[in-house]
Amino acid sequence: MILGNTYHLENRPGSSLLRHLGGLSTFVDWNRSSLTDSGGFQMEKGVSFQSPIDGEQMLLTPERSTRIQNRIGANVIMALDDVVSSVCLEAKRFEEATHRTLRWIDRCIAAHQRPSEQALFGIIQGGVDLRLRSTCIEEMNTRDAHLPGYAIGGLAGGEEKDAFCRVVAQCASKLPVNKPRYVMGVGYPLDLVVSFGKQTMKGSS
Amino acid sequence: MGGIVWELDPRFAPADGESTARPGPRLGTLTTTPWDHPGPVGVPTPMALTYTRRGEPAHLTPDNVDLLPREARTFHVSLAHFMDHLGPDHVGNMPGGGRRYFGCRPTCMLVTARDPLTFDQDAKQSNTDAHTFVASPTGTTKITTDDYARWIEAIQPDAFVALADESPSWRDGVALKKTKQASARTEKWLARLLEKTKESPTRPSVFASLQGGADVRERRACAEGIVERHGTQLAGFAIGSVGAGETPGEHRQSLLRASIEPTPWDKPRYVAGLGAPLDVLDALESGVDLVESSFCHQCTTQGYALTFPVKPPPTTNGAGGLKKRKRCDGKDGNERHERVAEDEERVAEDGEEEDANRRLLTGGDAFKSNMWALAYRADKRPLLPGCKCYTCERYMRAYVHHLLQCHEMTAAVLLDIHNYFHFNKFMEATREAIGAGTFAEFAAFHRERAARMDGDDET
Repeated sequence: MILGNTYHLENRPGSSLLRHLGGLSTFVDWNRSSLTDSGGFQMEKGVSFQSPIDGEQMLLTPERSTRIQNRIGANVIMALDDVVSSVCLEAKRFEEATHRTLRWIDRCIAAHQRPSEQALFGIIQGGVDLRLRSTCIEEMNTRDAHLPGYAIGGLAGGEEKDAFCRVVAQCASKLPVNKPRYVMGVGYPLDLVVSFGKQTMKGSS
Repeated sequence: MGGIVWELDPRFAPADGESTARPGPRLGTLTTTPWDHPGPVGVPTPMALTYTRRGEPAHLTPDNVDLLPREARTFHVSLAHFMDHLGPDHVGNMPGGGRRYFGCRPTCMLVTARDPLTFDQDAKQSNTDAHTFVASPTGTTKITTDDYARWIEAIQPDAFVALADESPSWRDGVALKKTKQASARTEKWLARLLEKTKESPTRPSVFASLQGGADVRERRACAEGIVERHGTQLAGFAIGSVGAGETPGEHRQSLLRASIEPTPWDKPRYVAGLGAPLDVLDALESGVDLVESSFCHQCTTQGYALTFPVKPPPTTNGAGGLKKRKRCDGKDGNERHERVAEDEERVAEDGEEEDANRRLLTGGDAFKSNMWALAYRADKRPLLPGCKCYTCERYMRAYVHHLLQCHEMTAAVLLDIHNYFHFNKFMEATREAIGAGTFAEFAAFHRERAARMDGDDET
């Protein structure tokens, strides 16, 4: 499965052009599966990016991210989430991010124009706080009918390995067993082995 | 092991009573016995040696080279790329010897001192009787025959061109004394290298480099001298100091012929620096058998795809039809042709060419297209419609354009695959024309087409 970067592909060559050319897989001649990342960091209404090419600002809202990913055409698309660095010291920030992520998942579901062709994955946030994670999972589960898969986000950002293992174990045990679970950003071989049994992991090392 | 064997196709041998064939296009076979093959490997000539950097094609891994016609495994290797501080031992000490050093395993390897793309002399440094210079990775470096012999022993090529004092032909008006001096040095270095390498266990074949600058008489004298004094020890001849600013066409061919005519007809001739298609025609008309494909490397690094037809189109109308193309998604590639014809404003089918105005905008010419051009941003066609190379069967111009704009390495890989494939097809077309006796028409087609597409208006 190849991973396309929503932000960079929107910059160059542009998602509208990609749709015109037949979608990402046709463009790069890849007949297996593909996934686009939503491009999440932190912001108020959405996520603001500055182009490395011309400095132009791009505001990435849940709607915009989802529609761009619809045009790029990957098999799996990711919800735009509010992800906080796992070594952030403010507990309140994680709480804010968890609730925002839940508000945004509804907006992503509403904006998704190709639900029968592209699988939208919801992303569980909450830092290393098991209570927050639990809240997030329970709430996310109420949208289960619209989510072909789930991801465990906000990890592999420098947190202690014990915390990492606890969160992955908890999430995996509470997420629906009949749906793929994608542990995001996990690249080192040891982390892959630990995550095994979670069905999907991203290889980025 | 043990050098190269080249055989002229008997149809092109001089008739009984003719002392030498008047140099002209001819067919032959170049045979080597690679160390990792059970038997000999032959490739037809005329052919183009694949350009390498430090022994490897610049952007192609071994599996990519396998996508090219099999004669692409005949490599040109420039010693200049190796002349850094490491020295020959790190190659020669490889288990199994230097021939195993390279990742891409050529079936034939010809070594020359300098890179075909550069002339390494400059105004500040003069050759002496003991040394000349090459443009190494660490700067201009002296090279002697001793150095050269050590490197030959380390790399173990099938053949090499002896070290030469090159006087590039642009230096018209160089005093004849300097030209004669260059010829004399070149012959002296040849003799020394023949001496040093004749005991080599791998017995590489030796090509003499024929000099004489821009002076037709001096070229003839240099060639005659070398043939007379060393001819029996030589496997072939390299015509040096061309592709260096001399006027193409008659003038260039007069220099080539002056060097070639004194040489025995049954030995191959190699020339570096005559790489673009029209230059290749000049070379073949003068009787050259081996050229090199650094032109492909140059095109790739500048983002050009070769898009010229290798031969005149067939006279029957529509006989070719849409070629079946492979697509990863299993769909018939022709489907895309039909969609494209509907989508695009320009009508451009297989065999039809962009008009002059468009070429002006895109920065291409009669032989190549500039894939950086924004005109290709949404172009779903392959680099060259109808081309059967790996790149053209799978990828669209818009993708190669995108890769270039993003400075992605894959652009060079896809372009190299196409350009070397296409250039080898061009060489194949020259062989077909020579074999059919239609080379004159073949050459005229290319020259007229180039003049028509790139020439000045006559009004």
